[in-house]
Amino acid sequence: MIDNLAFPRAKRIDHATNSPAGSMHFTHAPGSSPLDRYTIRRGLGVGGFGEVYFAVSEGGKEVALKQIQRNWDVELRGARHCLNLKHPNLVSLHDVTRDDRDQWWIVMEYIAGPNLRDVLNRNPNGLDRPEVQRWLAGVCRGVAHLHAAGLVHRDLKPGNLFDDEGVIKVGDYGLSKFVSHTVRGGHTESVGTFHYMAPEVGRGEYGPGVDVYAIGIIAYELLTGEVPFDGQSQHEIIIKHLSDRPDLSRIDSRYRGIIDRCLRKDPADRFADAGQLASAIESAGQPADRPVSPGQRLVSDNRPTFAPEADGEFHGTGRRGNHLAGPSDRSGATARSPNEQPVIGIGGLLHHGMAEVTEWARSLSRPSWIWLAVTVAALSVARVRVPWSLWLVVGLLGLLVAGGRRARRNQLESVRRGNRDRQLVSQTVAPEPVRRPEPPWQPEQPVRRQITRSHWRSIMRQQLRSNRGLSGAAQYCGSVVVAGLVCGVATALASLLSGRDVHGDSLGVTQFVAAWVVATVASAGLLLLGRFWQTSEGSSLPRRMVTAGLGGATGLVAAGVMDFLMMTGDGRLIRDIDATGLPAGLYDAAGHPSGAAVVAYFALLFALLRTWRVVDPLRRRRVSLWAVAVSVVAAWLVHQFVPIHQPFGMLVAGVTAIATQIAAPWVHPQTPPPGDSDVLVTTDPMVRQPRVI
Amino acid sequence: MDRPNCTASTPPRGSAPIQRPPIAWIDGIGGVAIAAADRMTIGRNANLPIRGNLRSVAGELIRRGEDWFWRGHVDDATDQNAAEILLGEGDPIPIGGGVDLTIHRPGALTATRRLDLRSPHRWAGGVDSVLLVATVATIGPTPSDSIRACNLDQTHYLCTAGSMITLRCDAESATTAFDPPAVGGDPIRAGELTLAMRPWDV
Repeated sequence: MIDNLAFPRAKRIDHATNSPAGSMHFTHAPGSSPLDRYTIRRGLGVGGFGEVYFAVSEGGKEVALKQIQRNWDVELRGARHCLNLKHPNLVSLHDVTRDDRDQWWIVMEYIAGPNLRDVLNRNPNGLDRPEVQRWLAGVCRGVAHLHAAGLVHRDLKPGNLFDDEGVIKVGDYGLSKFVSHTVRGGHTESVGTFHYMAPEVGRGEYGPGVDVYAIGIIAYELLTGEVPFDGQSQHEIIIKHLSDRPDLSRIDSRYRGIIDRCLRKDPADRFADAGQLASAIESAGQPADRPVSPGQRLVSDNRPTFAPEADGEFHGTGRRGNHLAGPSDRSGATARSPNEQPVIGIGGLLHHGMAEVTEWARSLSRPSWIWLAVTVAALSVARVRVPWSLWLVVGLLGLLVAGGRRARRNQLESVRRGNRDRQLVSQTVAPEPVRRPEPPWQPEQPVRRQITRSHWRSIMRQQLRSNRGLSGAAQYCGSVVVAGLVCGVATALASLLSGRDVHGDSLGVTQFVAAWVVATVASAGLLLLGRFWQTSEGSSLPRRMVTAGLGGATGLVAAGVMDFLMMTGDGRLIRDIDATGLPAGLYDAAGHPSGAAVVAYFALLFALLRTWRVVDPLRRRRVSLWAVAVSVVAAWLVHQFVPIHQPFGMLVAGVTAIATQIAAPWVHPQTPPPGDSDVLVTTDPMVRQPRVI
Repeated sequence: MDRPNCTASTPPRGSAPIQRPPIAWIDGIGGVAIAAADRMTIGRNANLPIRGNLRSVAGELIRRGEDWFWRGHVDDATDQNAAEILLGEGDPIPIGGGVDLTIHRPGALTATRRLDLRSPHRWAGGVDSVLLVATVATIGPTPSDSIRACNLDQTHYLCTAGSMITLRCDAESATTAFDPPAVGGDPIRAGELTLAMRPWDV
């Protein structure tokens, strides 16, 4: 079938060699002969090291020609190592040669059949067991031959595994290298594909364990259709490889222990090489699989790890795993009911709480140093009012509450897994496997087309261009009214919460009114700029300059309002960081800020903040508390250099951030582009960006 | 529509070479035979050649309107009046030799059919698939495209008109000689695809 040859559209993976993104145009045209005696038929694909062509020799031999365009030294070294290897499960390399222009080419066996990526794309829920066994056995035998020759493939992935008329073949030796038995590391270049990359690759270690790990991932994907460690960014995937344990509950029990051992973080805990793994795979594929003996029982902890073999070779030795424990369970773990949970003390709760906080911090899209800075700033401000002891008590209580929630969640998850695993065991010990009836035929579900967020933004920005003229002006007026109302409510709330009710001192009243007016003016200005800038992403510097000007104008208004309301300072110019002197000319002899100080304050504040983001209709969230927090902290920071009345400045900054976000138009990020409702907006970086025509 | 007619029977020795449909070599996709004739033979040495242990001419595909029929084994020395079988969606074509050949109409928008050959048998000359085109064939990411290419973002159209073929995608289009293809002609590009028409050399 022709679609066997089609490249995957970026379901998620395999773009290191097969991605045609922007690369469907090849250097050499069909019919050309850049390499003597070979005529190119068509381009096959583009990898990190060069282009691959389907070609025919003078005698009619079909071959694949790889033109090495980049990293030729690494590629050639790998190819030469494997040039004389012969194995039915390895794609044969015929020769390495140069053309008239001194370009290096690798002549290799052409495989007309599909690669595993194509097969998995057509079977998104994984393959049936005989097919899994066929693929795994073939791959293991081929890689075992490489390992026996002292080579490591280093780039095993579905796109490099082929079905050549029923024979599984491992291809693409571009990254193969010899393994020194004394020093396995030393190669600092990161290679391979992230989803299949072993944790130790980040440390530059490339032993056979790298291939064993990759085969474990592939086995998982063969059985489930999904990779065990997936994420929205390469960084997230790598972190999961380094720290997460795979969820093996969906894995066929015959392969569970094998995959668990393949995916250990420490390469020393995995199979020594693909030869050992091949034996295990072949054992798992035996028709008379050893059922779970009645003496064996399921021991539940947190995560499942099963040992289908009783010879001790593939024991589930996960530190916190479920494993089948017989009477002679070597782990010595005390058997207990799956639903039985250990009692967690205060120390345990604090530990869980710290884990919860750490996990939350990791989940944040912002860099951790920003959070650190915000926390330090917030504590610095807060310490003026609240004693440290109270903060300590509040912090400990918070940790205990978070820890309790996490422990409870773990318990529920454990119970859920325990129930599922018991079902699996009962199925395994059943004398006859329960065969499910063939599901009725259902029409193929249409594949939702995925587009990247940046592509979606470019489409939506084009759409926003049409929102101009009278309707745009009306929308703007409505936004300003809403912003004014929100400013009023927010400043009133802030005033009440700060204990300055309208019947209190005059400063509270004047600050409330002044903040309302100034925040409304600032919001109106920002909303106006947002309307001008909503049709393009724009660059940061010019926008900062413009918003600084808007800040200056806001400062002028603020100065006028403060003068009108006779807001004289009451000693609140005290700075938390008093490292610099007051700027000359902005303050009078008594230290009271002049109008210029207020203008400078707001100009600096607006230049510091990327205020156009909070009014961008394509922002991720309608209202981001993060943006509000950043605005307030920035206002506090500016106050350290150009102090004005506080909390007036911070109040204006925070209220403006809230009001503009609520009032500004917003398009939900999952809104399909107009006229293309069957589109899924994804954050997957592997989804290719289509050409904008 | 006037369509070229491929030879429908085994050529006698010394006769003109067998006419074969041209091949569109599409980078990153495959080699696709663009068959526009109303009658085509299939066999080891036929209009649509297959590598396999089968007859030189195993049978003939016949187009009538939008329907395709199969008439088996049309050797000159045998019965010329073999029964014709109407080929429906997904039907196997009984060409013998253990060859698993099926015919598909992937989408309802075009009457173009695709012939799929299952491993271990292959079309001769490195061809991956044969399209029985009806004016328009599509190449795109959905199962309803004549050729499914998951890597594409948009559907591309192959339009045949007389001896010319046009590759279209949105506002882009490029045309080249189709039957017979220009020897050594430059590839044409539209959208994400690059395509070169070449004769089907076996």
